Amino acid sequence: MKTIAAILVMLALSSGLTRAQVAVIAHPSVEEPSISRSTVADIYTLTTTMWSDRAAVVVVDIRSDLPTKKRFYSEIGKTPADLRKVWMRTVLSGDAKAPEMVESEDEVIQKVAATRGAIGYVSASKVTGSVKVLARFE
Amino acid sequence: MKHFVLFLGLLLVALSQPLAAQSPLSETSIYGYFQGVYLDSRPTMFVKNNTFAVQQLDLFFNTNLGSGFSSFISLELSNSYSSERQWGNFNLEEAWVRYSYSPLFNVKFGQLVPQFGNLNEIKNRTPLLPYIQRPMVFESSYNSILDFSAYYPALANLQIYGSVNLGDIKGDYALFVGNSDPKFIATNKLDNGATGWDTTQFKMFGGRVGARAFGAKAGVTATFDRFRGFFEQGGYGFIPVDTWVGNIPRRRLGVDLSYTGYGFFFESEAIFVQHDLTPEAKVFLNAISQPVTIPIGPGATMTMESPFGNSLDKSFMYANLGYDITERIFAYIGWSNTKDKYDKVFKDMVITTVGAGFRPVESVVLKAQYAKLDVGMVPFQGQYTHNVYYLAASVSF
Repeated sequence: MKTIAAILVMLALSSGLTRAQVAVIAHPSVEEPSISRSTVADIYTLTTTMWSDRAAVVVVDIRSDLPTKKRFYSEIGKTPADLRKVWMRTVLSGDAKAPEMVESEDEVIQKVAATRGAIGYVSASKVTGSVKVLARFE
Repeated sequence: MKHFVLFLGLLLVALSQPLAAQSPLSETSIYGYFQGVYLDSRPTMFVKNNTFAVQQLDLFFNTNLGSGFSSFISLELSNSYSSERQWGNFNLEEAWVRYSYSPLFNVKFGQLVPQFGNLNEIKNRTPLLPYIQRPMVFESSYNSILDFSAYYPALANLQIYGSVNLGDIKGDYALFVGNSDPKFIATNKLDNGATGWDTTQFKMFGGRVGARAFGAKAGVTATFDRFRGFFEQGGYGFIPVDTWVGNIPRRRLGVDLSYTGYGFFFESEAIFVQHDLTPEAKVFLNAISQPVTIPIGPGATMTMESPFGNSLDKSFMYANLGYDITERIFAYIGWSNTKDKYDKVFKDMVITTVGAGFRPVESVVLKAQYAKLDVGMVPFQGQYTHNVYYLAASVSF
């Protein structure tokens, strides 16, 4: 019985880890106090390319298949293949620039903190004071 | 004149200062793609052949100019371009500046590919296309038997476009204007003082309205321009002299429907080209579409069917259905059809095709395709079909 309880606790913990909050972060210069899930989706499908102050949006994404990436894609209702097709079409039509790809969540924070107009996503626990949080997906 | 030159010089000096100062702030992305192919062509008429080629190489310069302005330049080299060997073509495909006020309102000005149907904007973007041979009127290898510019506007010069969120549905619109059909653009300096100038007194106007939701995209599109009714002497003797029948109002009407989801991808489009013939054009087309009887020997004659019809109308349809078998492997089938009431030889052509692709890394797509063109009965030649086998590597960089 103790073993079963221990397993259940571990499962709950691991589930908690994979379902950790995802924070959508931006460069501190971005004026928006917060953005909706559909706006995040519009930004990552390169439909929205400007902030309200007319600064260009710089989309930052993670190259490798981290759990945070899977969670984020699921929250905006897209698969990697969906986004790849949309990005290719938009970029090759000249309507937007390709997202900046980085390798890890730490790099996302560094890139977003250093790039005016940048937006990215990381686990909520990784957020630092160098970036602004625009949305949290529970 | 001196004042004008002086003014121009001062203007250039004045303009160059802020431009030079701004250039370090402008971030230009340079990227592109190319597609190398091997094809084995087996027509029932003419000579079989096979060849390697670099079908296409495109270079893009995409610059964010700030405050909602951006620019885009697309240079295209096709068919293993070499000026030294006189191979292929080098084209300025696009060069435009865009002002984006919001997703709802964007303006492009310069030379651009307008939003007409589904495929026009991306017909040359080989990394986006699952196929190697494109649907018929978009496939450059058929330009000797099809008048592409009749079916869609390849270029425009000003476009206003945007999209709006309507709940779960996104509405799209585009309005564009451009020069007339490229057939009427000067290629000889004697025509109008400069090459590339529109020699007509009319322009092409068009637009598209569409909607996107849940992976589906649909739209209706139209253009209005004029077909310059000049018919050159020739055509098996059916056109005895150069004939002018006036500028003929022409409209292209199109519908497009595509869907991506559950691993499937589907795209389809239909284009109908209609003309309001002038009285002179009706008389002329009726005349050249009649059979003629010609002497072929002492006391012997032969009646020849005209290769021309009495209408300029035509239509085009295509549909492709594919499936992403894995993240990296896909397969598809396709069909396209042209109908032409003017050209009785190539009046009803069908292409059926099947193909597959593999994406070993993100920026490389390896493709294989088989396509069969069925032309039907060709005068003096019989049934004409054309089988083509393709292999290709499409690389974006």
